[in-house]
Amino acid sequence: MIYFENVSKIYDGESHPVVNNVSFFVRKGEILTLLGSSGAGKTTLLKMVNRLCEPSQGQVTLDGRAVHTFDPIELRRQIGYVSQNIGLFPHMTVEDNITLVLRLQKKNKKSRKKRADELLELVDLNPRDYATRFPDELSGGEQQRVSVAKALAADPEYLLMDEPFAALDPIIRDELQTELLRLNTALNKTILFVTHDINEALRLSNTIGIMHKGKLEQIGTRAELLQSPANAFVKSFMATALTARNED
Amino acid sequence: MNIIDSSLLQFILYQWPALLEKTWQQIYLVTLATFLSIIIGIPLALLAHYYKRLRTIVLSIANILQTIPSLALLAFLLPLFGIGSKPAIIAMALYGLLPIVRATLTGIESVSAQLLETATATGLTAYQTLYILELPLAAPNIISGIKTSAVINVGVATLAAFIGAGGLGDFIMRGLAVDSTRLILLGAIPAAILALFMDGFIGFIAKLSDKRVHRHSYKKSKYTLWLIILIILAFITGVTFKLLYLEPRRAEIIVASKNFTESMILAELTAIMIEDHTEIKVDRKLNLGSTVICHRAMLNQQIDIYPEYTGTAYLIILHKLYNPNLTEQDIYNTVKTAYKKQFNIVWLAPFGFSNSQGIAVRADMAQQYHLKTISDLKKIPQQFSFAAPSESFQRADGVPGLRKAYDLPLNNTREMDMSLMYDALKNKLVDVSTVFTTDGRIPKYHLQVLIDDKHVAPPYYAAPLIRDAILKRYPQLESVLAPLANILDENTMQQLNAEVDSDHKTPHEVALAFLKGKGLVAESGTAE
Repeated sequence: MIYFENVSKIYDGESHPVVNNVSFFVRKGEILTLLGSSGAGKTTLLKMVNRLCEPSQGQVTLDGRAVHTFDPIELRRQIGYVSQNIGLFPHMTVEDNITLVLRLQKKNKKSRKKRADELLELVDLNPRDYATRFPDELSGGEQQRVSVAKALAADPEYLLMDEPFAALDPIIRDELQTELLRLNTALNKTILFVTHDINEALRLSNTIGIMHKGKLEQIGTRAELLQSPANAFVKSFMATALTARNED
Repeated sequence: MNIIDSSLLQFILYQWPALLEKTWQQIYLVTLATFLSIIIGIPLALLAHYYKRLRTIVLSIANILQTIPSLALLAFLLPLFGIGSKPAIIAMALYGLLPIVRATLTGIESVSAQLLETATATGLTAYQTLYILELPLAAPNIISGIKTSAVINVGVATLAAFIGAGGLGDFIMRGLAVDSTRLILLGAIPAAILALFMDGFIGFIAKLSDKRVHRHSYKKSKYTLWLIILIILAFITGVTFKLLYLEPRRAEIIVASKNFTESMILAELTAIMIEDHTEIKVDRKLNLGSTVICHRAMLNQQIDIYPEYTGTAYLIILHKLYNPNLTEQDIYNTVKTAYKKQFNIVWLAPFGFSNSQGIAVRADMAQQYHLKTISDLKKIPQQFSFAAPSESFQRADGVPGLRKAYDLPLNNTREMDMSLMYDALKNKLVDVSTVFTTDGRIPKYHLQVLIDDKHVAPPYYAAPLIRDAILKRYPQLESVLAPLANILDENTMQQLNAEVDSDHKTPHEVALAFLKGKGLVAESGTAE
């Protein structure tokens, strides 16, 4: 379980905090989506889990243990991270990219190759075709599949995903969302997902947190957000979904 | 004229062993220097990357090092290291730093922040980020920097010949000294080819490490790459070992000379006498760049014998002022005493002739204006052009002395290498120039030396200089070299010079023939 406890973040010289006293938790095995427009602070919150960013106040705990007590390198090797920009090294093949963290853990070449093939199958890419390709030889959708495979390489308990499908076209985005759901039914990871796309949020998660200018406006199930919005902002935010989606 | 004629072929065949040896020297000079530039430059660049405050300093230093003219850099290192390969390699290594430092910095700094974040998020340490991400991505830049550095070094290496480091520059310098275009090209063309080869070879190695090009045969290309690197490292280790530990065990006696014909002939006379009359092994280091370089080399015990002129020693090394009342014997005695006392160097008996720096004009011009003495130069139009070597502008007996003693303004001056003056005079590129009075080209080009009626120039009697330690170790040298005393006069020296300059014989051939003619060496002679 990931627990954010009164977390705030303010940069030196800034007057407004980027993250303002946020508390919530992500249950084991669930996909929780942080939703909000740019600058809402959701990415900053995400990055506090693997210590790419440190809170000014408050703390983040993983299964009860404060994140800042972990060695940051070890911590990151046990958390999968997928970002919006393609996190693949252009000078390494797909399989080398995927198994990078295993290489850091000194796993031998044979087991790494085997794992790379497994993971490629998992994200629905044929290993024989894709293993020795280079990232610039893949389409956007294929690249993000590989990124997901990479994030899963060390079989981490937690996955952090920062608007991973934002740069892709809608059809591919839809495919990948389906993939993710399918994957997690089998793998049961704890996923913290960040997006500005409300329909994506509604599709992927049961629990959604709405953020606005650093504050967590409301967190709850889809039903709760739709039927009992905490304030006017949440209400109008959810309204955009209804008009676009025309269901629920 | 048939360019590919038999004499050209003969020339190349004759020079072939020397060409191979000097190309080999050039290769190891460049390889060692580039290797040093790499192992100093890349860590420096990494330091500058991680410690931002160092960045400006590092770049400035590398910049300055490259802006200093390479010749000046060599000169700075002279008092520290003397002559030979070591100072040359160090100068080249410093010179080649900038391209590598700059290229490495640029390469590393161009890795995007996003990729760096990915690296951190994946759990790479800073060190791992460097060698797994940053260096591979910076590699194309670094390779390009290394190529630039290597190619620059091939050029600077040719200058290294100036301080006796060997390499193809030897041909170029000797070609300039004896006025032989063929020799110059023999040095310049292989050097250019070598530069192209280094560029291509480095590119080839770079390609071997590119996974993309060799994706299917990656194992094979990786092995080839490591093999090549191993060979290069073995080569570098071997040469370094040889330079540092084996080089000092050199020939028993090293005879040197400056880089002009007469000096080389005199050195050969000395060397041949020693070789023919003793069992001592003699090595030659002809073509050292200047008086100061020879003197330094003697003090550093890197050479043992070389021919010097009394006037030169008096003015340049002892920094004394010449006054016309001193006789040649006075000057000889002064330098002999001073050298023994201050430097432990012994002046043997002079060869017998004086080669002063004189002033010459074309014979027809002398006729036209009735020029016999230097004072007569007042008669010709004031804007006449006057050429002298750089040394002359500093020496008291040179241009400053002329201006003062003869009241000649000498406004239109050119600085030129001594060996180029004679052609310049002949081809009317200059009107008046300094000459060496015993140069063979004076009679050949119909030049006329003007009489130094005010005795501005001191006498320059040539004599062999030998380190006292060597004389003590081989006392027989005194009697072996005694026959060389007074063996030459001005005319004979001019003749011998002419045989080298105009007839394109080597100094060794000319010296040997002369000694044979005098019955001083056995008819069978010695091999070079």
